Amino acid sequence: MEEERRWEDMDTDCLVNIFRRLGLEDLTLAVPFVCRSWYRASLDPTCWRVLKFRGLDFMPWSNLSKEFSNRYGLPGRFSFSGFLKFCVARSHGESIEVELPLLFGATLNDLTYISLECPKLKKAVLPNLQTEDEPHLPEIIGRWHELEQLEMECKPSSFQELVDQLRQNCTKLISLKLYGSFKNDDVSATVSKLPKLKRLCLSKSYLPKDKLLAILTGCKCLHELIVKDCVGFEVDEEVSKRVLSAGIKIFEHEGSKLVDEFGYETDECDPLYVHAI
Amino acid sequence: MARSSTENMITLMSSDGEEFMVTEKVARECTTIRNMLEDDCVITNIPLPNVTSDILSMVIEYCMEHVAAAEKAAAETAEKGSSSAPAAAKANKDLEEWDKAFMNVDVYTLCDLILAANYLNVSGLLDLTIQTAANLIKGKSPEQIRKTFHIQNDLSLEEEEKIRSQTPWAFEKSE
Repeated sequence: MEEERRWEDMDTDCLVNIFRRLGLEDLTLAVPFVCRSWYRASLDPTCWRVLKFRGLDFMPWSNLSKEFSNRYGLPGRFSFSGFLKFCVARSHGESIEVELPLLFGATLNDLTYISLECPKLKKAVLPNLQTEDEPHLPEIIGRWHELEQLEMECKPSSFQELVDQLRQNCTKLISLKLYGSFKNDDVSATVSKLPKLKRLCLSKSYLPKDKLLAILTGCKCLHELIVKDCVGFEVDEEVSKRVLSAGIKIFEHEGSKLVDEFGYETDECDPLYVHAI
Repeated sequence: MARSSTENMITLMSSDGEEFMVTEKVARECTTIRNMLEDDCVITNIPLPNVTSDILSMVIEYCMEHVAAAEKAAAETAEKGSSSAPAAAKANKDLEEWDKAFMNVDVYTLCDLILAANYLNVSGLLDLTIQTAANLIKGKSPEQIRKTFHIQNDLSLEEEEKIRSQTPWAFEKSE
């Protein structure tokens, strides 16, 4: 009996099911080198459905960097782009979630690569981009026709074009997260072009009260509105009432205030500044 | 609530011929058995040639615990009109603790439980066992994984070399 119970003979579907719950570090550095059947199971594209790069350390001196070079020891330098291509190639277009590192990682080329190679993405968590790259963002995101959740850092200068792309090409989008200074145009575009949003997170934004109310009136499907640490509004009786009548189930606003600590409303489009206070 | 006393009993037979009498409700926790019962409602004796008696008794123990927890929650809801959130949270936590203790098994038993949960399609147990196995892998080196799961490395040097060298394009040229 004991002889029959062997992990190397484990049913492949079950192994794949287990590997789907592992992070990219385990999937690249450990699992393929355990034994033949585990290596084969690790090639199943569904093991690579969730590509979570955020939280991994891609610095040249990091353990991941050293171990990856060591395991796949080739003449060449470990780079984020290389690691990304390796994982994306393993997914064979089946990945449904990508989370990119916040800093020091994905470039415009990497994003373009992902948008072409991962057409089935349902969730994309994007990094801060260089300002000169922002005009390309709408086209890239517009390739993800299955997209349901989009998270970004600072609201890009191409926000209006982005909203147009989202309306045209990402018709399943229900969750949006970003921060920045929200002006009339931004709010009216969001309300009129993305009416199906269920979840909106604008924490750390400059968001005047009238814009907040416009969102509450306009986004009819909203269940969840997260506006923590914002500048521009305070939750008064009117806001509370409107949140209630809009049918919002989750409303988080801790740390939001009418004016910043310097006593005036910040209307500078400097999200980093807004971020810092 | 009184239904359980009049409920049909089903006999499950393990691969080594041992018989287990369970209520239909407990048996229905296994989607595979539920489907059999829906196809043929008079069936009372189900042979399970892929599951040994020691593993089957564990699967039944898991199903009974989870059925009991669900019944208790339903009874409380019926009594008070709505379930109180703290009580429900505590019940959930108790069940989680029970699951955790239930997973205190060696890797061979874990392997058999995964196969049984997969075959009988007990989604909660499959989820629990798969996650337990994943947790045992996380953060380990290939050598540590082999030691944990008692696996023999059957990769030849040539095969390992092939795995290592299959993605040269993933690296930047160093010059």
